[in-house]
Amino acid sequence: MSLLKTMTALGVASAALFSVSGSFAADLSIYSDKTPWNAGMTGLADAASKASGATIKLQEITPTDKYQAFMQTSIASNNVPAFFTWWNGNQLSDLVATGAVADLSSYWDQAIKDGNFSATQKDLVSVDGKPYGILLNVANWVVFYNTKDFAKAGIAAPPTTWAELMADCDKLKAAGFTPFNAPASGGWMPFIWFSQLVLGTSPDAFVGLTSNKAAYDGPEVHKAFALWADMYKKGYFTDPREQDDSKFFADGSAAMFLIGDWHSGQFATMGMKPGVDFKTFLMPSVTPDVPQSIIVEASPIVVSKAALAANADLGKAVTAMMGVDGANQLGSSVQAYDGNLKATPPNDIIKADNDLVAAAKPRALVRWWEAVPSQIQGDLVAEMGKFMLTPTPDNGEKVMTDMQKINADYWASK
Amino acid sequence: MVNPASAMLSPEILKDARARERRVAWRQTRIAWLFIAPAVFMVSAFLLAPVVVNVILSFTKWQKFTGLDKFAGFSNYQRLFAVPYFSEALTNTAFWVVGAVVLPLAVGLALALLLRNIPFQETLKSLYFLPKVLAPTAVGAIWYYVYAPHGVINSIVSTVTGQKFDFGWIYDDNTVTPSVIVTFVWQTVGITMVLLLLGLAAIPRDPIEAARVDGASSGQIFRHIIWPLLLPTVLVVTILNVAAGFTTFDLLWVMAGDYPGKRTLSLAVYMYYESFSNGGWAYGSAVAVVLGAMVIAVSAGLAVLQSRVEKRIR
Amino acid sequence: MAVDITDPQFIKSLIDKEKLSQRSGVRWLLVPIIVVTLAYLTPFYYLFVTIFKTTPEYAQKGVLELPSSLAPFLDNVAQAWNIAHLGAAGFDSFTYALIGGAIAVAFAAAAAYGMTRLNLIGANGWFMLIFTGTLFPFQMYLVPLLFGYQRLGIINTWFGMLLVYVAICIPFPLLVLRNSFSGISKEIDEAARIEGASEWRVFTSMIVPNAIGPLIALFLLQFTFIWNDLLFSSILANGIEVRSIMVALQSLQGTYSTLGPNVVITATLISSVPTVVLFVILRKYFMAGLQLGTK
Repeated sequence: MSLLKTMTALGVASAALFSVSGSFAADLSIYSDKTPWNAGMTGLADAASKASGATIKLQEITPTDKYQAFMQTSIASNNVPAFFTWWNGNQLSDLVATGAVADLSSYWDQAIKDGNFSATQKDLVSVDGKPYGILLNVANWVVFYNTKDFAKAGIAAPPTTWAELMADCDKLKAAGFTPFNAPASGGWMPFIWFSQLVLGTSPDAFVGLTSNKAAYDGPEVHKAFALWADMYKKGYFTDPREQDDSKFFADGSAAMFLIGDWHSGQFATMGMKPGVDFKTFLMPSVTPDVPQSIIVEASPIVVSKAALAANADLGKAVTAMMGVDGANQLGSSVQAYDGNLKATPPNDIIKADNDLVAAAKPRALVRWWEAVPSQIQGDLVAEMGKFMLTPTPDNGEKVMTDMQKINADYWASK
Repeated sequence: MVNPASAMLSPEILKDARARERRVAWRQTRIAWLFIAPAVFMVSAFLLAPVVVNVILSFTKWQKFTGLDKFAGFSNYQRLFAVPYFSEALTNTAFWVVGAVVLPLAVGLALALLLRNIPFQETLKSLYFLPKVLAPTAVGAIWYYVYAPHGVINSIVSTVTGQKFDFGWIYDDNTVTPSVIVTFVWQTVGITMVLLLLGLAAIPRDPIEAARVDGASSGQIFRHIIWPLLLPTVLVVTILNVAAGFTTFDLLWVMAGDYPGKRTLSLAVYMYYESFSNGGWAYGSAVAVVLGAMVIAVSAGLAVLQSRVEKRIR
Repeated sequence: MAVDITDPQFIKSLIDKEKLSQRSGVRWLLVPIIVVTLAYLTPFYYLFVTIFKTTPEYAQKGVLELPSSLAPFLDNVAQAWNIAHLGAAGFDSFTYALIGGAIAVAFAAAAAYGMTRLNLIGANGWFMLIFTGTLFPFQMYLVPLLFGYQRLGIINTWFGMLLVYVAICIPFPLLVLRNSFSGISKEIDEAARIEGASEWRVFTSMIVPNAIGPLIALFLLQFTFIWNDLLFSSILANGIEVRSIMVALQSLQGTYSTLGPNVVITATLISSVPTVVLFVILRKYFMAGLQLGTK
């Protein structure tokens, strides 16, 4: 074959390949990084397709940092996907500031009128009073406990005060269990106990940390760290280096696990029956006079402003995803609860938590993870992880100083 | 070239001949362009243009979603010197470069000298070379469990000492870099050893025999005869491993896992972390530029050294 | 020291001394060699012991203890295969490595031919242009490529990934082939050209067959490099359908942590099989490739 012919063939082939890969970009997509919820997300995509008449496909990118990188470069190059999962709090306001996502006020107003959602839920995904996302998952952060372990340690009922909790920890230790499963894996888990202890000491300090009104080496944080170091000294926590974040809870060697109630679906797949093998209780405040607070995690799906403007039918997709059927589908396929008031709770745990919250009416607070400015999120979590590996008071002092330096530098540069 | 015999021909014929040659040369060049076009296009578009873009990006304010269109002057570079992470990463990278050059060379040389004359040499060579064929990701995955708190090393120590030993080799600030360097040496000692064996085989026997007859000790033979003749090979190995020491990424990223100080384990890791995990695209580009400048400077220096050594040997 | 080298007694004593030192030298060296080799092979021992354990068995036994049976291996393979989608990833890596490596070496060979066998004006300049592609560390390509791919819409596509691999794998083969083509005698092409063969024909029928050895060695090196790549695939083609096998392997670490190390190590084994098999079969070419690299 002559050179010219070969080059022509190559040119035609590459043009063909190019056009094939380019055509994928024309389909509408819903992007997600929550791969364990694949079945539920596919169901949502199907519902959205049916309602709007367009083809909407699910695209997954994992892990989380790759997903965020993809979104950041997409938006920077004006290539925003039609729908994608995101986080609320500061992460949402950063996104809203780019102007890439649509204001969904009209859809929320309709949903509230239909009784699908409440106004407080709307606040979870609002920036400056306007909602910019629909809810994919609303989770309360509670303490899971292994009923068999508690029975063996002679604990009749879950604790309602901090003193009771500490006493229960001692009972569990005496019975040969580790009280709390507390891994430092995944690059995000270290913040869980940090924020819970600060929250339990002073909810105002907890909120102030992420808005530059409280310091990471302030007195409340000092109290939290002292408590944390003491709990480590007493052996209340599992080895933070363990990569499997559910292992010690699933095999029963650790009796409790502080995590979002969406994890109940995962425990169910590991063979534990919700409500039978494990139950939940609300974490009591550290100081008795501090009112009960609870950390609420809300994951939204956001909609591209450009896509919504270009295709009015997409609005029907938004309404479909906010509806009862969408919620029930999510619940039955992956046991995720999107907060829809008319939907059936996916499992007993989530139902129980909703009842607990309705009864105790704790102050609901956004997770530290979403509230903290995203630029310093990773650096601060790394510091907390350093403490968990060496949980001594001296290291605690160093970690607090380093965290405050990162925090102060960030706010000074604004 | 015009044949001198044609000097006897008339000027017009010569002019025609020269013109014809020039046409032929141009025709060949145009055809040559077709041959080099694919390679030139691919390299320019995917390897050279990105470098230019990288330098440009480092002067913008691009962070997370915004700032791509804003000019930042040298602020990204100034920030390099203001944060402690960069100097930590720099120190670790220096550690890496020295370790990546010296250790495989020392161990490889020792092994090469040991293996020089024994039977089964081909099998042993292949065995030692095998890890180099494996992906750094795979090697890192295996060695992660070698170093894990309940991994191979700790169980050996536990068995030997009789006490439970669960030190976190890759969780402790002081041991994480040396541990990964050991893995790197494990992976590269094979290729280093094979290259050195090739170099040793090229050294003529006679001077060595003569020296031994004269009563020289092994140490003296090595220092005065073997080492100088081995120097070109040593330099080649050094150049290869220097680049690796600066840019090793896969091994560190996979082995360090959840180590909190992961981001400063080397400049390459720091660049990746700042760009892809922290969203500081412009800042990460600046780190990449600094890393690139360092690699080029050191490689160029070594290349100059290598050509000088080779001239001296000849 | 004056020595009479014609003295047969002296020569004989030299020969005896040499033989003695050789024999005892070998015996003395054998011990440290065996020790070092055993230590060196420990990770492989760990690998073979682990892939035959089940997850609870791994947790209960010592990590270097022998497995109780060979049966769990298939189960480990199945788990690794399904959870990390190793099939899709393996197919992707295989096509990237095979096609990308072949195209890269082909492009490099064509360019080397153009630079050495044809009167290319400024050949050295063109060569330096491509050679500078090897000077920069990969880190300098990542962010611009990500951004550019995003803009062109070829991010997370098989074709986009292939392009990058081809580009990266051109400079080194070009360097080697340029040397190797220069060594082929000019008369071969002259003879063919006089007979009226086109340059393409000269290239494919005369030059390439004469350089088969380096071409195969280079292809193997590039195949291995692309197969082993983590960095580029994790950034430019991370989707489950297009990711490289190393990215799939890395995804098993940490996130799907209900798997024990036995599954992760099995996945490591699976992802290493092709390159190891190639190495065992074509060892000669790999070693030859090494020598090419040192020139």
